[in-house]
Amino acid sequence: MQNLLKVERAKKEITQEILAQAVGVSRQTIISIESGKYIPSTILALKLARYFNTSVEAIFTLDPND
Amino acid sequence: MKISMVFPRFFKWLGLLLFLLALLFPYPDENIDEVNKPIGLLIQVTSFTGLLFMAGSKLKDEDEWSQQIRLNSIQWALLIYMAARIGMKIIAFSTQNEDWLPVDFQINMLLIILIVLFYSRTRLLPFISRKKQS
Repeated sequence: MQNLLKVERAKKEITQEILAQAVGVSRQTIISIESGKYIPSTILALKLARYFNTSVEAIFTLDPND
Repeated sequence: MKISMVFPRFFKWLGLLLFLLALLFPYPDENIDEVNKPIGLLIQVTSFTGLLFMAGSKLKDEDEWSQQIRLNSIQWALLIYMAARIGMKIIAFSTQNEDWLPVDFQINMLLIILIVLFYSRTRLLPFISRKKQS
């Protein structure tokens, strides 16, 4: 799964720490999601989408291998 | 996400204390796995409890990522443990030496592998990665 979390974060000019606090996870979770090492749960994906005021599909997209 | 199956954070230090305490007990020469040896029971219960507390205590920021690492570490720990146990069994059989089959160390080994895997992946690797970035 690919994601545009880093892009969305850059658009909003917020740090990983602020985003982590806003959605209630650790900074390491955000780092792992951005680097593609961790696929978030549906709940967290929805929380992230809500925070950026967009849809889940706008942030997370399926990889051809998925 | 609801976080479950973890002890409070201070249990990590309590567990370390118990494990170190177990190391301080005078280790008897005879087989401590025999049920009529109170010192064996004391050493085993203290070390198992200590390691269990360390392996199962909450991180500072416990969330779904750390829960996933925890589950994944349990899978790997079991795999490594079983491979080591099979290896030890084969060595014990080929050398005809029963010292390769200590019962008390078997459970300790599983928990030690789990602790090493879990904390290296949640603490050490992120720390190294942060150092590389800065």
